[in-house]
Amino acid sequence: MEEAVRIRGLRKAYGELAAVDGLELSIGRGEIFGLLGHNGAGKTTTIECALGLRRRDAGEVSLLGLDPEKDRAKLFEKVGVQLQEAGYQDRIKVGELCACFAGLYSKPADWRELVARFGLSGRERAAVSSLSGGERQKLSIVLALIPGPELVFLDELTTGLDPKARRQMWALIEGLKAESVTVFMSSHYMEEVERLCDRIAIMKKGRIVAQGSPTELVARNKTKNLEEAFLLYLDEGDSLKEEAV
Amino acid sequence: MKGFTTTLKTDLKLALRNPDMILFGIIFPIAIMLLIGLVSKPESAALSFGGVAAFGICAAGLMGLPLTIADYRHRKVLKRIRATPASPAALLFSQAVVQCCYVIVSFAAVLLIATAVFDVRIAAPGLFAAYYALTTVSAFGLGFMVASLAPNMKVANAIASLLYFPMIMLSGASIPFEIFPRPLQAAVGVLPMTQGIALLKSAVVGQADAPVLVPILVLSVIAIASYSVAIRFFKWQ
Repeated sequence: MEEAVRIRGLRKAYGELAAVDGLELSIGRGEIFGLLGHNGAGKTTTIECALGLRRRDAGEVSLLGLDPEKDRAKLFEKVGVQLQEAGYQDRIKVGELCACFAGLYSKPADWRELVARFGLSGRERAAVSSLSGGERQKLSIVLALIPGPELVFLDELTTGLDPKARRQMWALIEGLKAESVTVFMSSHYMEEVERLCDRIAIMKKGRIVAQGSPTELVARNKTKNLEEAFLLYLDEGDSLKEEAV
Repeated sequence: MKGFTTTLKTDLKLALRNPDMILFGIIFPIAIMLLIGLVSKPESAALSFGGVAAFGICAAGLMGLPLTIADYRHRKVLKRIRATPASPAALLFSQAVVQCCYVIVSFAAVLLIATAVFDVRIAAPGLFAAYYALTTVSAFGLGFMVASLAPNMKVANAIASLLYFPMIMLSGASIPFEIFPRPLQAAVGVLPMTQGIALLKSAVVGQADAPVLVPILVLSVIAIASYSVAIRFFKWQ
């Protein structure tokens, strides 16, 4: 299978703290991949290093065969991004933000069509700051899809959304799968990754402690569901440490 | 620079929606020019014009520019554009152009009032334009430097105010520099705006033997130093 994302030996430390510690992963084209872990496990650092937004200390990253630090301009014509933090100007309106993003790409998708598809029609003249949490997340997906991407990064897209908005997001991600866009998402909702992801990796203290399809991980640990398997992986190291003490 | 036209278009639209800049950059200088013109003799109106003309430079260079860039960093706009094919520097340049537009609009308004209402004449218009450009470049350098060095919005706000208000009050922009006691004159001589306004006033009255060398030198050194510091310490996030 052709690789959309390949990360080898990725390391990133903030002072003494190793946020990402020798991470290896690979995502095939058209896959929906989920990175799971508690807050502070290193998910966002992994995503930001993979995108070249943070300088990695060591390791190799290749997205669609390109290095994000060296081939930034070429790469981001084909990679869409949704980051956890806002990233829009004060007082800007929905339509202006979309038009501004469209202007940054050589072959942008029709943002009006995306706005309509994501249920934001009629909101073009609204200030982005006046949108609800759910609407704002939809807008951030619209921005991620404006390049007409082959690969999309979604960093905790559904965190803080109500159940209804979360379900809408799921439907939208399933739509991306149908268009065979590769998706790299991070999440801490088991239900979500179980339903959406072809493959997941569980991250703990900067390392990947398990990866596979959700059903594989459940079967491997003989647990009832993914949540139990997840907790098992995250508890393992801690209980060992406690025994050592 | 990839993305520049797009970011410029967006920044221009947003600039029209910024009440602080419209107030400090445009309405305030117009009001001060009217006020000074109405209460003072024609000769002193001409002298004051040199100072009031620099109000727009202070507002744009020392407040608008650093605060907008610090805000773009705070709101992760600078970070977000790095995840697009555009050049992140496009955002900085388009903001500098937008702030230049403020300076030009503010200057045009003050000039119109001074010449049409109070009959002020600029004796050496060519020199005036050159001095005006140098003062703007130097003030924008300070603005970029603040944007680079301030770790967050609070500090950016504090430094911008620390630069803006003394320069407005003490450099001769609003209160005639000549009425300050000597020691204060010497102390505020280090403010770049004091030097810039001295140059502007000399061009307005056409004083041929004005001591322009030192002010030009001070402004140039400030410009070179501040842009170097700004580039060296700039952080995208």
